[in-house]
Amino acid sequence: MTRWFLIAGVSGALLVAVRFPRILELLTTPAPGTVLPAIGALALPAAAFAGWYWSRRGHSSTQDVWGRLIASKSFLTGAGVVATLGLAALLAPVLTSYNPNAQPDILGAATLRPSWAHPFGTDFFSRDLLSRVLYGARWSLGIALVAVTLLVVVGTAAGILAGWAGGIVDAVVMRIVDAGIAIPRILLLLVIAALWGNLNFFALATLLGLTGWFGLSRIVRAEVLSLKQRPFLHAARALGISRRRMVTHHLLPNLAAPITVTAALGVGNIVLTEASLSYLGVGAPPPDPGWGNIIRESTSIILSAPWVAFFPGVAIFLTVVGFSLIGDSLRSALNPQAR
Amino acid sequence: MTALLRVRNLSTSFATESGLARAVDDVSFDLEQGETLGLVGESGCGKTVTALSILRLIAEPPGQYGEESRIEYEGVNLLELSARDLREIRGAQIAMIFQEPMSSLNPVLTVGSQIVEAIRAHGSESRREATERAVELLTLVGIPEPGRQINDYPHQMSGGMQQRVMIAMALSCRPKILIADEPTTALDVTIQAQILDLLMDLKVRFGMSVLFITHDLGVLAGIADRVAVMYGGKIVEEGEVHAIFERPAHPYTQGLLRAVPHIDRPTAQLRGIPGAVPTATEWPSGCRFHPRCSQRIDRCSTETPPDITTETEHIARCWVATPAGKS
Amino acid sequence: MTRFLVRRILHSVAIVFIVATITFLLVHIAPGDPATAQFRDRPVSPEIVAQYRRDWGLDRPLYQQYLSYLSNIARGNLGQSFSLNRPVSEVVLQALPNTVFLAVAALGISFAVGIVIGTAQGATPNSRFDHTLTAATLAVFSMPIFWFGLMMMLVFGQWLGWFPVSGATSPVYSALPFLGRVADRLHHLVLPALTLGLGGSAVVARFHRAEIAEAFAQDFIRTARAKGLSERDVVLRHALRNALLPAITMLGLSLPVLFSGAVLVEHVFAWHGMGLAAFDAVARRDYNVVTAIALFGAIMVVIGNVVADLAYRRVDPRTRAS
Ligand SMILES: Nc1ncnc2c1ncn2[C@@H]1O[C@H](COP(=O)(O)OP(=O)(O)OP(=O)(O)O)[C@@H](O)[C@H]1O
Ligand SMILES: [Mg+2]
Repeated sequence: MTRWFLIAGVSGALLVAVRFPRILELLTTPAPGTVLPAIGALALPAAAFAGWYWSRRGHSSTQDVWGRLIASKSFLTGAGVVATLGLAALLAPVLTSYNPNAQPDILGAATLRPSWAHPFGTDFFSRDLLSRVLYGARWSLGIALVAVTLLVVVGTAAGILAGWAGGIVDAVVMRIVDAGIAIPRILLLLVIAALWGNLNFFALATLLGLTGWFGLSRIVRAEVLSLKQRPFLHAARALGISRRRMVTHHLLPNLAAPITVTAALGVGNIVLTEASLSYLGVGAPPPDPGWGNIIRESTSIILSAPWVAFFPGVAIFLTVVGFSLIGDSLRSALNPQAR
Repeated sequence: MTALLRVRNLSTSFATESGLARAVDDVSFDLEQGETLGLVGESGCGKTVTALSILRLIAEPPGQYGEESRIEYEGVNLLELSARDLREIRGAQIAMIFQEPMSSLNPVLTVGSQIVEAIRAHGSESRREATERAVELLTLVGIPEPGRQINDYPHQMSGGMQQRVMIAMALSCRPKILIADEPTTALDVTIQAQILDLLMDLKVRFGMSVLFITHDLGVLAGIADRVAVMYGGKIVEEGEVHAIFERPAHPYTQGLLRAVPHIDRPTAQLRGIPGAVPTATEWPSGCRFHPRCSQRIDRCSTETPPDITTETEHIARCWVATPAGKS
Repeated sequence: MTRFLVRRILHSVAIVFIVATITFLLVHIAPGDPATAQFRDRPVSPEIVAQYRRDWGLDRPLYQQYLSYLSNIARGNLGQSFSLNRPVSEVVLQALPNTVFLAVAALGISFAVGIVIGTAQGATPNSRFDHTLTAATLAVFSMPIFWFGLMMMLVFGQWLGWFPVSGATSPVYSALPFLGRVADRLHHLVLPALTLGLGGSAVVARFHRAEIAEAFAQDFIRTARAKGLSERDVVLRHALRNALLPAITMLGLSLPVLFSGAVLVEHVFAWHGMGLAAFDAVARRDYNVVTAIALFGAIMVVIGNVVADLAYRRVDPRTRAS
């Protein structure tokens, strides 16, 4: 069943790509190769949830979770906000006819107030701000999704490794995690920026992912340890059930809940961190628009053109609110006892 | 003469995810001046909810009291009192002790300060006077070195000592009624006996009425004047302690009695009641006990049984109980 | 207690050691070395670069460099700033007081505000009031802190003109009398501290609300009500008192986020602290300064956590030595 969906999806995507190359082109401007992997990464939180759902289909508790989610106002709000932002990013070329990097009239059309022609106004270089914010969504959301994928993979692997192996491995991994949590994240990222200079999309995404997994690995490790205590694992071992099967059938289903929640909350967190780096000038390389970048460029004109700083900030704000609502409602839907 | 406490048609329900839990359903009883009423039933029968309802300690929502419910203390319906007036009753007129002394005491306050707080909630004592009184109370409940232990934290005491502290706290304002919700269940058997003796001694000294809740009918034999047996959120049998023990009319009470170890027949097997109490969201139809009852007849599963007054002048709600004068 | 302290300190030393190792590794896997960084913008002959390498021991085997790096750190020697030609420790120590000043003020604001809000919410769970505040804290929590700072600056600094928008002191500072200086400093502190503090308060409030709600579910709350205490006493004497204990732990845990926020807020308000020093050093690719500040930040976090743990054990009667 799932296989068929996959085959249909992939072949459909291929067909679209071959038949309508223009769509691909639209999807990947201005930074080619950034959006498609990002869309691919979108699948991760969804897949984690689906995996959890699948592993327990038929259980009445699963129905309950789904029911609670659908009934939860904050989940619906969050999903609505996120879907809108995601669509806006994908449809940016349709929603605006301006090139986000074009500077049509740097003398005459700079820092125009919001108007019908430029709903968000224009910036210091006469660029249309709406298009910059829309295309900025591609950069900011794209990075966040790639980074979250990485964070989940590394965090889960490290947590399982530490919890399962125990002993010295556990001690070393967990001390590294302690150290990673102790260094203020922005300072760590600044060190790397100072050492490496400008970073491209994937370098930045990797960096954000590799500095964000510490918290998750603690949760995963705790889950593995508590699972190791339970009698059914001894029974499973005694029955000669393979290690792989224990991981896929017993461990991963239990981990799906914390991972899903962490992934959802992680997106917001990474959007914030990426924007902070770009604001400090060590993130998105200008002139490509990222939300943090736009705000950085707005600070010199904040008095005369405050809207340039305002709109990208609202975009970041909405993204974080959306993902936080999703994450929080997932958390309470997955373990209803904890309020 | 009207009773000190009259509970009438008390219904307490909770809105839960799996529907309305009718934890207490149309319960009525009286507590007379100076008497000890035992309330007995298995776990989940609604004893604690009944006790908490009397002082309106059920959180609303999810809890909710029925429309006709009345809790009359000295003629005043507690369910209609303002929050401020209700506080004048709580602790001062009606006090309560709980099953788990450990979790019922605040772990980060000294036992002394928790007693002082109870005293000062209702009086005009200074902190020093209240502290002196707290030491007196601790002496009264048999704490060995009250002057020192008053500065201890709950975790530094044994369960028995903690329960003594709870009793001291409950008595601090000389209440007229003490509600004791399974006060000995969490304690060792030897300690249980000591606490029971202490409670009964203090009851006489303070002239209190006691509502004593337990799941162990045997405990009530020595201390209660009257007994109310609760099952499925309802009182199924009620009467003088001797009548209940000698001529139990309800099959549930009979089952509970069989579960009590007996001095006279120590070798006799303990027989409990088969099955378990259903959840409060899904009470069975008719008599709520019928699925577990060995004496059930057809109508038990469809019709709610009436009040039958038995020969020994007590009431049983059961289709097969024998009314007085019919045997 | 002593055993706990010893274990805790060993643990902290291990963390600092790993942080130092991480920064060392980062520096050495990055392209180039201090010598190339030093002469990056100046064309010099290879001999001079080689000489520089010899002088600073950069030609020694990696493990020797690593050992001397560690021993230097242990002795408080953080190396030389390439761009400022001063010892890094001087640069850091000069920036430290401003950062501490800002961080302490912000920490105070975030816990004071966060605990009041969280308590009010936790005491009336699921009321309309609770939902409104939940939305408000979520909103503050979701704003990028630098943007929040810019907006504060715009509204309270520029449009209303109530507070200065940049620097820690005014240009005339040194000419002011003592009280004037104090007032001047506080006046400059308001916007940065509020930005950083309110951002933190949202996190504290969300955490504390849950703690209060949990405290409220405990049996001893029922006992307190059964005694006839007023709801105010139930909240303040019983629920809050218990929920404040986890807040102490939270205080330690919130330090890394606080310092990260401070870097951004210092940048927005041109507040000359460690964050701004780190930022300036990045612009000049003076990574000795940046790594030193990161290491220093981590050490402060680790110390903060130990202090919080000790405070917790002192305050909680269940762990206090009896
Ligand atoms: N807050 C609540 N929400 C929902 N249901 C509740 C709540 N409190 C009690 N109940 C339900 O009410 C019923 C009676 O509970 P109660 O605690 O009064 O039983 P009990 O007779 O005191 O048992 P025990 O001997 O275990 O103390 C139970 O089925 C319980 O699930
Ligand atoms: Mg009970």
